[in-house]
Amino acid sequence: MSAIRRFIDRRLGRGEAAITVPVLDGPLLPNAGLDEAAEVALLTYADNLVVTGKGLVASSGPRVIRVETGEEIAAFDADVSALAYGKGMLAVGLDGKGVKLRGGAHDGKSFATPKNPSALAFLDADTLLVTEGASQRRATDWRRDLMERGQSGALWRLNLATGEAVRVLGGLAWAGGVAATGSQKVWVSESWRHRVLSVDLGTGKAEPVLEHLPAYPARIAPAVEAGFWLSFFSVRNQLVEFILREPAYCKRMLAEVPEPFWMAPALASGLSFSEPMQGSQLRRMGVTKPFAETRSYGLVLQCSPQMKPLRSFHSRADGQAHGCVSAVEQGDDLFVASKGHGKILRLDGAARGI
Amino acid sequence: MSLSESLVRLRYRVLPDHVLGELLTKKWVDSAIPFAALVLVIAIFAPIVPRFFQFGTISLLSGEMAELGLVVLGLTIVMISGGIDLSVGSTFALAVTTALYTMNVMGLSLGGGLAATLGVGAVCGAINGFMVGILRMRAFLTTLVTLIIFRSVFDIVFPQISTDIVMNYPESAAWDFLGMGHVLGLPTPFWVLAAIALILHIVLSRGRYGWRLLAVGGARRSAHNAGINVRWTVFSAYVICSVLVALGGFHFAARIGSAASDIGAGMELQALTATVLGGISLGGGRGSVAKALMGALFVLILSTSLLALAIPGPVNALILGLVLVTAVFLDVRWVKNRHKLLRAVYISPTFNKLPPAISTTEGPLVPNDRLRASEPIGLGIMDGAEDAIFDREGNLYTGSRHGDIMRWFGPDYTRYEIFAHTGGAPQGMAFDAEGNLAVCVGGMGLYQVSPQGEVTLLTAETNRSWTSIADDSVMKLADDCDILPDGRIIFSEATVRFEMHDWYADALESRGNGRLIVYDPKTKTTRTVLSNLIFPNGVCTSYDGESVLFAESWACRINRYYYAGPKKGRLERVIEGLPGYPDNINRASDGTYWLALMGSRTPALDLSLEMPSFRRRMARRVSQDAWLMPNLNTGCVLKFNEKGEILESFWDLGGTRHPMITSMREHRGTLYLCGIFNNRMGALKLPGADQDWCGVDSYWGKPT
Repeated sequence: MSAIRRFIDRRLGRGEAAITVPVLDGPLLPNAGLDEAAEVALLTYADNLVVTGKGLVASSGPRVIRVETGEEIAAFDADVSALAYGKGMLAVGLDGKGVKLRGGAHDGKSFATPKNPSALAFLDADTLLVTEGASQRRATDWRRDLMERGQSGALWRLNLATGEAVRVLGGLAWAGGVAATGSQKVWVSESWRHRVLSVDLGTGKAEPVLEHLPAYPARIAPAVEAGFWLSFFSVRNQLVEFILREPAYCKRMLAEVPEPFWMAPALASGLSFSEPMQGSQLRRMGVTKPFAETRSYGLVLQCSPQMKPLRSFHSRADGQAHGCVSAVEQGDDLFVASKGHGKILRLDGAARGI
Repeated sequence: MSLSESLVRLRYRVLPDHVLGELLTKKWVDSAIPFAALVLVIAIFAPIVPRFFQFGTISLLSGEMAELGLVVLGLTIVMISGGIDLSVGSTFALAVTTALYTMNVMGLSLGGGLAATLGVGAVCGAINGFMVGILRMRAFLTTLVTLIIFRSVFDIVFPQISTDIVMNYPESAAWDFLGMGHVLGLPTPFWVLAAIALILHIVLSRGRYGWRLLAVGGARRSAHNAGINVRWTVFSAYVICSVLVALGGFHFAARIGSAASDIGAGMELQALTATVLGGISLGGGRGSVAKALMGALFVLILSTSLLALAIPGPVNALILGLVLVTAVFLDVRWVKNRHKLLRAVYISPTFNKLPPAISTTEGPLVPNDRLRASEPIGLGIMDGAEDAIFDREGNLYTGSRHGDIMRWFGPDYTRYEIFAHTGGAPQGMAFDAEGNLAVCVGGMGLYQVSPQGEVTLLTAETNRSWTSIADDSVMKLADDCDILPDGRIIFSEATVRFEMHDWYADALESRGNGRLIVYDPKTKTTRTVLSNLIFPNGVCTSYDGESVLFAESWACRINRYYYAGPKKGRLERVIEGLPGYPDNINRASDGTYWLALMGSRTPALDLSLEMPSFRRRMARRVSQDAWLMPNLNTGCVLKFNEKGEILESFWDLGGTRHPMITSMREHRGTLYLCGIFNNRMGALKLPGADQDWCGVDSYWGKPT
């Protein structure tokens, strides 16, 4: 019966085969907030903003850099794919190499599993939460995992004192971010299913709290005013949704087309003339339409403590701050790293509340 | 090439999907459903009804057909005008009574009886028409009421005269001939019906009145705004309807010679079933005589066959009712979904694997930013400058989206005037030896603008190809033209399947939908010289005096067509595997050619060109804004020589100044850039070029 329904759905584009994308509306109504934000620093592959005792730091490839001065704090033998700071400790996720700790009580400790961390969060002084995007795929390979509809992401709990690593929850379609809430329940963003989960660390049970997002959620950062900042890889695109349901084309594209030229979401687009173009992206009368279909987008969303969307900052199709996969508060200001366009932005007063 | 790829290629060569979509654009497909129903009912009843195909049966049937057919034609006219007439059965009864009374009792001549009968019909129709058309009452309720009133009048009058009717019989040979006579083996009334149907068909499909009727039925308000007298048109429709019904009644009276009290009862159901099944839309504005007759024939065959099978009358009516419900359902679904079906099947992509692209990482095509040095012309004023051309005085001519040809004055090109107005979208241009400007106008054809700015049509039609389903004689998208040394104008028509604004649908199809056409001004004849070209675009006559170069955009190649010389009629490839989509070609001052690449090939799109079914589903499911398209934001201008060797290229990465370059023209040491969707033209200095070179001289020599 369900096979028949799937067959009909595929013919008519209903149910699972529907390629409709939720519109950006309500708290997600587009604006140019990220494009109008102050540019603090230019940093290639700017990512993983964290406020430490020494101020704001960010990662750029294998290096960790102090944003204010541009001085290099640390360098590693692999790309830094996640950072977290707490109790004088800097936890560093290394792409394909696991997690390392610098400073504080557990200085020098390292974990080989999970191998491909995508986000880190301290639960308490001895416990670190780690998300792994996909078990067999590096964090930088997120586009391939998305297009192959991967679902091998996991949430891990690391006991820093004993060195024990426990997989709390697996089978996630890319676990892209994690945040502690002060209780046994933590938030985990499941990127390719466009939702945020509430995961009970005790039982490992998950339930969706924020669903049907029009974009792929990445990291979750706490807001001081109670609440959270959700950052996103990119918005969903109707054509991408369609290609995800076209296995023959999708498979050949992944195999035959160089990755930068895939018709797939990206952190930045329009960099090469070999990138695919969609109809509405054509510059007409010297103008790129901000509302054009796009593969890359800049979006940061503030949510309430209960994970209800409150307000958002955007960089639209014509914007220059795409791929904002990391955000952090410092004082009254919100700092956002645009990995796609390699810069760090400051939204003055954004952290003061609405 | 793999086996599966060969199979896909073969399947798209053998099965032309696009034919289905073109069939659906035909107006006559509307008749497909009634025709199928007719065939079905014949197929069902022919084997089980005795003597179905015998001549006597058919002859009898055609007699009855004459009566029902006239009623159905009348109802058709009312329904086309957007109304409905339920009172046809009662009017029919009154007409029969009148005919019998005037002929039998009063003993009038055939003409007199006919006039009286038609007069009664006209009065009934005028009552309906006055209430519905002039007083604007609801057609359904009004005619339901007149159905009862006319029937009551009949019920009051008929018993008083029925005895007289039966007792008398007219001494009229003409009356007998009408009732019993045969012409060529078929009953006389049938020929009357045939004549009326023919006249009605001509009026409806070609006459002014028919067009007005269709307009009123299709959209009352629009018809009113267009100056049609809606009230009178509706009124007249009811009158004509009732007159035709009365004529049917007259035939009936002549054939039967007497009447019963249930005459015409239930006729509205028969007639309505026939019209709706025939595809005369209940909403008005759609319908034809042929459809009405098909519907009438269906109903007649059905009811007489059921009668022949001795099926009781109520069951007969029940079946007819069920058929009516089905027909109404089909009518609603068809009218509502026809355009959706057409949309879904019209775009039919085909297999178009491109050869590997010429390298852009080394050689003359390495991207650069040389075009960024261009100075803008007409910034914010230009809108739709697809092509540009210069006269000997240095004036620049270019088109605009509003249908104008603008003349910009040299040397700085800051002032302009509207030189001429074409009304379409001016595309490629070329000057002939007398200084007339030949212009391809998208959606209109090939035009000529005299030096004084007078616009004349040269041609908008070419010979229709024998195998085309859709009429391809009219030009949809004349694109670029050039003039041969003998004065003939050769031009490309990019696609015959899509209007200009749907050009990207043609890109998605990537089929050979275009053609190359030659217009000869001496004989004023137009002839297609090459067809099945994949979006033929730029055309440029070669320096060799016997060939033209032209671009096939979606095939990423440049061809040479010989119009004279030993290779006359031959086609050669000049460049294959361009890294982008070629647009216009124009002459350069050093004896080579300029070529505009409107956009770049992208691996993701190239891959989809090998997967037609993927593109077809994309066209159906994904909104047009999100379709995969060539990367038109980055293009370039390149130079190539007679042998097809690419010499150099000028790029604007990201299209900051010149996205989608559609043409370029060199003039006195400067290269001018055009873009159909750009808000400017660009002027790029060419220091190494001949600073005195003018394109017109290159074609026609320096003025003496």
